Amino acid sequence: MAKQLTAETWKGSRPRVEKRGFWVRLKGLSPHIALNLFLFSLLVLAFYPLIWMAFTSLRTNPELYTRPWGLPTKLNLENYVKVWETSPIPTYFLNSFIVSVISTSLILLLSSMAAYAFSRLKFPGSDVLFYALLAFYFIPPHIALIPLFFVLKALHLQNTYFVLIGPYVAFALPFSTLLIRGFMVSIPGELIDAALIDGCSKFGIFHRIMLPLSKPVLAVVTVFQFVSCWNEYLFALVFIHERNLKTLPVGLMDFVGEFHTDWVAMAAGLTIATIPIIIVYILFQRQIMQGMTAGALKG
Amino acid sequence: MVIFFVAPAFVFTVVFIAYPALMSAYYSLYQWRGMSEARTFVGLENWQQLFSDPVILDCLWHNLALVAVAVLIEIPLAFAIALVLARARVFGRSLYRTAYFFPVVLSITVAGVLWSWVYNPQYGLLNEGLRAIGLDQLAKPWLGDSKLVMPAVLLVTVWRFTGFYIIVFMAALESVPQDIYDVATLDGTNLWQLGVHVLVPMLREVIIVAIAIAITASIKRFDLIYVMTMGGPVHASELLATYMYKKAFLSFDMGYASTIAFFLFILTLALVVVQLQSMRSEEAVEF
Repeated sequence: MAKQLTAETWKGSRPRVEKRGFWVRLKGLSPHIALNLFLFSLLVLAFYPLIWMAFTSLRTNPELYTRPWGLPTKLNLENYVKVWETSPIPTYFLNSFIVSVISTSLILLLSSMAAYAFSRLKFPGSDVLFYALLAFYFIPPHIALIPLFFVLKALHLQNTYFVLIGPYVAFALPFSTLLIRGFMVSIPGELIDAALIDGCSKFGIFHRIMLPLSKPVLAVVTVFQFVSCWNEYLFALVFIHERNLKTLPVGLMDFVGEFHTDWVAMAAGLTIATIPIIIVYILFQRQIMQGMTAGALKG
Repeated sequence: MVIFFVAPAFVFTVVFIAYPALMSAYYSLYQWRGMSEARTFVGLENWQQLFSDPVILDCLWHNLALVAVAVLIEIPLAFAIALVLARARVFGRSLYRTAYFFPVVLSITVAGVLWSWVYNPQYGLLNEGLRAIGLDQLAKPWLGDSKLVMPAVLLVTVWRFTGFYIIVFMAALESVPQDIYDVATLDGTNLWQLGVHVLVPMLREVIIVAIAIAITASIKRFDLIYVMTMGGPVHASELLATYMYKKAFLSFDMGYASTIAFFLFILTLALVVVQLQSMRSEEAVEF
């Protein structure tokens, strides 16, 4: 079938199919249909366990064993009441929230300050210091675990929010600084010169020019670091033993241990822990995706 | 003045990274049982133990399997999906983008417990599904069988992390100038050719960074295994990090655990250096 070079072909992406017969059309479309089916089945695969969890949370235990599939027969909220009244999931949630918000704020502030200095204020040894900071990126948190555990124990600092915030901030700084610096380097120098002429101080340049212009990369750093603080497991497991101070990942594991035979209640607990994430994610997904696609991840 | 901008970052990193890392190296030269203060200097004995410990070898294989799956499955799959979502005729593109990223933000405990249910031998979704279509003999105790546990866990890592790389690559694809796509359309290039011959070489640096992230993350992996299998059955899904945790906080062998931690660091560094050296093109990656 020779292709004629017409205006339609030049548009390329959308070949005209109206004049062809149904089967020819179907044949032309079948790769697209296959592709869409494939993407959709991946979607189902990705979400089915979550949907099953939500359905299970509405069942009773006997019902789970007799018919684990399909829609729940009625809206049975017993499990939710039970979990809400007997387990400290809301407390875990609050702890995770406090720790993640404070850590992420500190990460943003400290890494953008460092990134500003490394991108705009050349000083003796700045390159060496920058690479020293980067080198920390390759040090895994595990290496700090045992020494910090004993230091914190000696200082009686275990079971505070601080013992999590400190390491979270420290281990996030190298990568965040790298990302933000990469972005700040691309900000035109004329803007800064103009501000200098107008008598702006270095601090003024930082918070009036660099920070507002770096919003896209700051959004990326916020999302990345918030998610990793929210999900951090190792430090939270080792440093916090007091039930009321546990963060969600570790607290939920205790909950799972307590309810391990009661699947339907467990499903309700896990659903409670997931709903806020879904809400936040849906509310902010536009910002998250825009930030991510701002081209800031080019290293 | 400059000090004011960089000092806070260095205070945090020195206190919480550099100092403990050095202490870890120091502890690795001692035998140090439990919570007492008594340490005995044993030189390189812990290191000798490490290199003759068969469990360490198991952990190494499992960690390398994580690296391999991330680099050979997650990253190529993510690139393909990102390309399809960016360029092909797909209905509900933004829905897919949002949905595929969701497993990344889901709490790790929820993800781990959910998948333990999927794999549960009696009531698990997987076995129920196999029985429902008459494949009873394929129903297995997925996480309880030492041969099946690693593949089962690796599938979960693909489920959880591919979305991350999809977003990274979609971001990168948006930075490709529209002209490239226009020319490709004119030449009648299909998506596969466009991806393999044009976009992969163009986005080489992003891919290199993604691989470096995949390596460091896979060697550090702890939480998923801890939640799903605790490294078991026996050591069939043990990773360096879970083994280190067990040695330190379950058997209180702090000297040996520090040695494992330090080994984990050296391993990460070595792999990343080798990777960057071998993949880096003439014009260096601008870090």
